[in-house]
Amino acid sequence: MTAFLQPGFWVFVVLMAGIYCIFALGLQVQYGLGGILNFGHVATMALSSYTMAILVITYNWNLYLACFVGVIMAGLGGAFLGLTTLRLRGDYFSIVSIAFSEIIRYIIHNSDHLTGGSQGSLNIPSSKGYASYTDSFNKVLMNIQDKIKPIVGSFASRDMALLLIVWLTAIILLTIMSFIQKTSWARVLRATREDDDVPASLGKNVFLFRLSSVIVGSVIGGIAGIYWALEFSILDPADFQTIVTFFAWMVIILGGATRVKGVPLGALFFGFLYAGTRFFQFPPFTWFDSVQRAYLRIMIIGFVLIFLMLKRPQGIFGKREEMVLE
Amino acid sequence: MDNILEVQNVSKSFAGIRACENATLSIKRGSVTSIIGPNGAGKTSLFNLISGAISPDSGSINFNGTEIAQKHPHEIARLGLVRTFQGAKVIRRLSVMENILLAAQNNPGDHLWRVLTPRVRKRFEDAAEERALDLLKQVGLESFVDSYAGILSGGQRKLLDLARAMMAEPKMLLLDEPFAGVNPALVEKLVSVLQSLKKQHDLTFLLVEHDLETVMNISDEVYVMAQGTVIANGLPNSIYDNEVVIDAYLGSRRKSS
Repeated sequence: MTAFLQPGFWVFVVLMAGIYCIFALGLQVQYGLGGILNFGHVATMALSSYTMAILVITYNWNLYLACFVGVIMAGLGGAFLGLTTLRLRGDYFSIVSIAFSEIIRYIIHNSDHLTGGSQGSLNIPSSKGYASYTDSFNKVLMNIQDKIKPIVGSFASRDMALLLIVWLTAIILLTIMSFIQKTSWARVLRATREDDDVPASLGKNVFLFRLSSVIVGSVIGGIAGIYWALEFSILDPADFQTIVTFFAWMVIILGGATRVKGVPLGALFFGFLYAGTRFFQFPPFTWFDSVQRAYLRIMIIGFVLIFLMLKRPQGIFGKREEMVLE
Repeated sequence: MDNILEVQNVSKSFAGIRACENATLSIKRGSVTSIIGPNGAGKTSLFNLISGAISPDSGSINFNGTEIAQKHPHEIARLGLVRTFQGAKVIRRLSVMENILLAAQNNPGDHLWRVLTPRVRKRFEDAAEERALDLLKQVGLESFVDSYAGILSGGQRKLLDLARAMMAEPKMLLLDEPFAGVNPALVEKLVSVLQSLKKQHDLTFLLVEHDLETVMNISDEVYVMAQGTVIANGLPNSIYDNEVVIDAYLGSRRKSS
């Protein structure tokens, strides 16, 4: 129970919730507006974080420039996925999108000389003799940590500093996205989630609207990937398994897919659920060993989702009326 | 009067089945033209070909001086050739107002980067909303502005569909069975709305319809299709007496009366 009481742990939970919030926001643009079932969203995180790490470690790029290029790379990945497969009907797109994210992961896994392969970013070729991409950023975090020490006391830590940056980014992105939701661009997308023919018959290029929403979502997912990389300081291809995409799905289902403001709430809810279930150290949970309990955690989240679907299918913030219209 | 739409020898087959064979039509600018014919005659296929939903195997379609046979539906719509769908398709989870605003042409807000110019967007939206409200008043749906379109009845959906098509500022409207499943009073209303719209906006109408009485009343010209091809065309009255048409569509009931 000791970790349960440590502030550092909860800072970590909120920090991860922030990263998931940004990550899921990228999915919300695609699903909440356009009804696009993207099950390969995790690829955007893999693309941006690995691009950034390789540019910094192997090519000695400036970290911030590398981050920027990493995010662009995630956007290009989304564009590639969209251009090749968005013309397929919804469910086919979903299948291909899973394949896309797995292909990206396997490429990373098997390109030892470029990505470090199965040994992760520690094995990325470096001229300095050691593979780290967070050196310059750690200084920034240290700086912030010193500045907030008088205010938050024992909460001041590397995680706390990053938490502030992540949630600031999240709030900025949420604000931008809520503005975007009010544009006619979003209105056309909301129409396309129901029907392609009507918007097309009114002069809207449905494909372009879909493509742009996937690209925007991928860029946002890429930003989440950068923060993920900065938080953990090392990358491993196994970090980017398909289950991570479904964590983001849980976030937007919990929060209510059609509303931007549901995303941060869903992310916090998911973060606490995911971390909180670590502390089931009492019967009946103690009947299982810790590895089994890790899976139990995911099962419990599943049960919560089912319960929510039954009692509040629109999510915490969704509009129920919208779901029952025929 | 010149022709706004010229369909020439258009053919289309699906897996060996001819949906349309050498269909040829000329639609005069400012006219109301109806296509009638038995079920499966290829009327809706012809609509889909004209509106770009499917592209023809051969033949040419010329709208207002532009060849549109191989164009995408959204490109054709932008030229001013707007269609409605059989059974009136509304976007159920958008409000009635949002449904209509969807049709506003050249909306700057359709471009994502315009999120940076809220004033330009707002100016356009305000003007569009005003026009949309006018159209809603014309079709008598002004009290449903903020309701979800999904709550509208079948007849109201037809009215919304029509108003939305008008919002797209068409030069010509393709209406697929606008009077099907509509009660007689509403047919009258739809007809009067159509006629007032036509007068105001100098529109051309092409419709597919089974309600013969209405067709004969409002049409300037009637085309009869059967088995994918045009078998007759002419003034409404001449169609009634045409032997070929009686055999293919009207049936002997008409012949004896």
